[in-house]
Amino acid sequence: MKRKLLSILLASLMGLSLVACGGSAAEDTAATADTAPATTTEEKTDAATTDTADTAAADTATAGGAYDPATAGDYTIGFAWWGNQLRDEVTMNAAEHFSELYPNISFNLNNQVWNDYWTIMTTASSSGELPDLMQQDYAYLEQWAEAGALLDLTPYIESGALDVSNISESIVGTGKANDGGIYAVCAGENAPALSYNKTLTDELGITVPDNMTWDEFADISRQIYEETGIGVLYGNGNSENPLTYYARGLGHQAFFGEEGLEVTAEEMTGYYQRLMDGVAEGWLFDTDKCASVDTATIEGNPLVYGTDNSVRSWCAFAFSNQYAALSAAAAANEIELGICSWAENNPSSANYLKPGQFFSVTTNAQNPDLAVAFLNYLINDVDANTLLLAERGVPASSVVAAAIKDAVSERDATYPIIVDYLDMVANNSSPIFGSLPGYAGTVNTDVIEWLSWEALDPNTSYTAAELAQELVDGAAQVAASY
Amino acid sequence: MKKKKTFKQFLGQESTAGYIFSLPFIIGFLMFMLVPMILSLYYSFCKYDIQSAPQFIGFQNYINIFHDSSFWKAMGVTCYYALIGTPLKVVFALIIALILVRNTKLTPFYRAAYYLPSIIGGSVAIAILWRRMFEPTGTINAVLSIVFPGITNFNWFGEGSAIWVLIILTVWQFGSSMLIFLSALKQISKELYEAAVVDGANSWKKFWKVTLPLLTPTIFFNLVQQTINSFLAFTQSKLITDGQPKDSTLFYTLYVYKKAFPAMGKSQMGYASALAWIMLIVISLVTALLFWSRSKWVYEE
Amino acid sequence: MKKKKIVGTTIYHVLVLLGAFIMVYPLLWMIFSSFKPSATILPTATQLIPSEWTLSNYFTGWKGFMGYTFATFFKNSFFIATLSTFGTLISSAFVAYALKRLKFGLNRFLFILVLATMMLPPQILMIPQYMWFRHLNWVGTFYPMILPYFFAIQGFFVYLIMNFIGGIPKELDEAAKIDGCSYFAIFFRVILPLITPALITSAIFSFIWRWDDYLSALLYVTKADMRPISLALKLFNDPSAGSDIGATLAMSTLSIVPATIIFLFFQKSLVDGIASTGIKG
Repeated sequence: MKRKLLSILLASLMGLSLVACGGSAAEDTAATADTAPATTTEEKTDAATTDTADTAAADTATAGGAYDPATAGDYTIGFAWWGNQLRDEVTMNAAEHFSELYPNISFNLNNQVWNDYWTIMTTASSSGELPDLMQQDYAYLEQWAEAGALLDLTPYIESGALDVSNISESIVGTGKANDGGIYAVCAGENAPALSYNKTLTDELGITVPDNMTWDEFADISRQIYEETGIGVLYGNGNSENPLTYYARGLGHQAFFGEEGLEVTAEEMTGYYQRLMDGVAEGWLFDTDKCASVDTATIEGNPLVYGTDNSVRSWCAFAFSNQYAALSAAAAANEIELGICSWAENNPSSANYLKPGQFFSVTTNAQNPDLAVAFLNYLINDVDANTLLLAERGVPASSVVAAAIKDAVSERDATYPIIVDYLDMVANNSSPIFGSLPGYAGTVNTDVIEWLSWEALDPNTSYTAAELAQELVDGAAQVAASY
Repeated sequence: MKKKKTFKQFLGQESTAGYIFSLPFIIGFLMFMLVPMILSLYYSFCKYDIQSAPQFIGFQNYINIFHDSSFWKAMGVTCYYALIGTPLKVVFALIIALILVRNTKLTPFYRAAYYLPSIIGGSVAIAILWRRMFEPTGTINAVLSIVFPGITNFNWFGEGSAIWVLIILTVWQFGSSMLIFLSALKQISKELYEAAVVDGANSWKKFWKVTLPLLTPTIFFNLVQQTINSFLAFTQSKLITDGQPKDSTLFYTLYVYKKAFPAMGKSQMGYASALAWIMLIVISLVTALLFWSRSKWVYEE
Repeated sequence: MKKKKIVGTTIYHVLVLLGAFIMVYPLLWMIFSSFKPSATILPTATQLIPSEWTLSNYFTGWKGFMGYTFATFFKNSFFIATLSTFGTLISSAFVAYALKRLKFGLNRFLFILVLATMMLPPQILMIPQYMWFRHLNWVGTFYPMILPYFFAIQGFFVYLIMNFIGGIPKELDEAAKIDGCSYFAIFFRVILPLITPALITSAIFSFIWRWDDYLSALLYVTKADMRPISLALKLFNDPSAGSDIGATLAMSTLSIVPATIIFLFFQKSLVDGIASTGIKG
């Protein structure tokens, strides 16, 4: 390390002192020293992309089957994800087990929270520093595949190095980008799921039905708020998820289109109106209250944590795979959780099954074969999936899902509940929207977020119709300048 | 032989030595300031998402910025923070310095206690602590409810008060300004005070007629230093409020960061570069203004 | 009359002491809370001294996450802070000597540049420098957090040392020159030993600032094993928010130990250092 530092120091000293002198003979060296880094970076990224593609093709041609990680030599696999404490633990366990099988392999694990994850991955990607494997999201798959950061897994699937034979074709298809390549494999099946404080609703004698409408939900929330002061954190302020869900309830087939939203301002007015009504009635957390609670982490979520009723929420608009972590955090505070679908007026049209997270191999992986082998282990190995506790969702491989059911249920009592819930959703849902266009993420940060803050602000100067109009216009503008 | 001697002579020259000794700064300035600045000036005229090649778009970023309501909001928040926080901090520093200038056996201890927050105030640990303390059910409200029984669960992170959590944090760190005042106070010669007493001045008058005018250069120095510091409050706002709620604590640097490294979606690095350049110009103007105002109120000996 | 003075003095001390207590209260709260059982910290927020003492928060916290204990994060921070401080000292002393003592064409110009860099918040350079370090392929390495400091990029330290050199009688330089010393010899044999107090002050500030640096770590550290304490603490607070406030406070307390120790030991140098930059502002 020190020697390397010193040599760089000397090199930069020399390079720049030459520039400073500007002598005739020195000019050439100086010019190269000065401009070389700039050009090589870009070339390098390109070269790396083609390189990996080449080796991948070559390997599949010759090896034509599974790659033995034992032959990889000493190698450290980089692996990054966003998540929570439970996910961090189970993922580390699965990685450690892989190291036990192949002592030559070690890991550099990078756990992040959602809010920082994409920032750090973008930074890493721009300088060719992405880990070998990264967790990927359905919403951003297109954007990342477009940027050339992800490895096309098709050749590996064809060669059998990545075994997807036990995964349904439609689920495999969700990893496909617009160019036809498969850039990600589903880490587990998932669905939007409302987690709620069952201890509380039991105490109050309230039953929370599956597939409730928004009005039913509002009634229950009102009652709980009046009796206990516990409100509702709607959350997801910077995500398209709740808006998408609402649009699905209206019967739409897509939310984002080529040049903006597929929904009209008139349609979305109702979405903002009911938020404003909830705030006016008091049971929905307003902007200020949202800012005073921790919305970024599972353990700090007002559903499970809060020293006072005024900063507690009786439910959380979450996903089924978060139920385990939420339950664990809730148990620490002596709360039992229940699970049901998100409230929406047309539940069977609104609800959907989705691939929870994806795993992708990045184009920065130095040994893509090994990365794929590890990916294959994460997807198909029964021991690995037992260790992973289905925390990312029910395993996509039907064989694995069946094999781990008892073992996981034994360790985690929430697992059978999640499986049952997903069964229920499977019978009461519509297919998921197609993958999101690349500009969707920017709509989240630049448009959806501030609008949701306005909608939840009791003193806002906007009406629901104006907010909906801002949404439609803002999204169109982002799409136009993408 | 002859050539070698001239080279040695050349090395022995004062100006040669001067350049050699200042070489680190010359290199550092070029390599870590000038080159990056020029690079970012170029990018500020581009649409650039750092994952694909930059596209030249002329002044479009700058034009968009002026129509960007978040930009104006961030400017407003930063100015508010600087205009309220800085004077408060300097006034506190001056008052405490005046109190601590009296020499007692315990003075070094007091000085240490008042200065300690400045030493560690910039750390992540303090940011975490601050968030915890100002939570609705945190220490601050708990202590307040003892002193003022009417206050329970005041929401510090609401739209109007969140910025004050950060202002209190910066004012808390008045220690280094205080030390500068202390050393300036000790340099004021006793004769001046004695002369004032002969003229019949009481301590209040002594302060206004002798101490304050002589301290103006120090006040000026502190104001400049702290104003600039307040423009760079990044860590604390990122960690404590992350700009929320409704951008009411969105400091300029945090806004630049969010454009360059958004939580979702593509980086808008060109836009962020343009924002950085605008900030540079604003800071230069503010500094120039402060220096221009210097001659109006700073007492020169 | 005398009695009145004693009363006055007592009131003075009580008030000043009360103020001092308020100032350090947040720190005391953090330190004492870190010794409380985690679950009792928030419910007993108004009670400073724990009724039940425990070290368990420190044991839980030290384990860190992702297989890296806090030892790794402390080691990284020490590595970064020590090297960058060393670089800052050596380069700033060089430049300060040149600007204060040596006559050369660009002296005045460079001095103005140094002042300008003092006025320039590093955050403004965040984006430009990030772009540049990316070109240099430095993202994901410690270089951006260490190497620039070997080039006197912090005008503050150059200025601080310059002020100090100004206080050294010029006759010493002249005498050494007459003895046949070169400028290099003068710097190393005459100036350097005499500016030790200024170097100590600079070292303290530089070390603490580098130790606390969160922004660079956020931008340039992409791997878990390279996280310095600032970044690790932030992440540690995130996933465990709420459920383990005890461990978070314990590790936060540990993270400010180096700065506090340095402060307590070198208080006088710090005070003198601040005074010397301040006076001639």
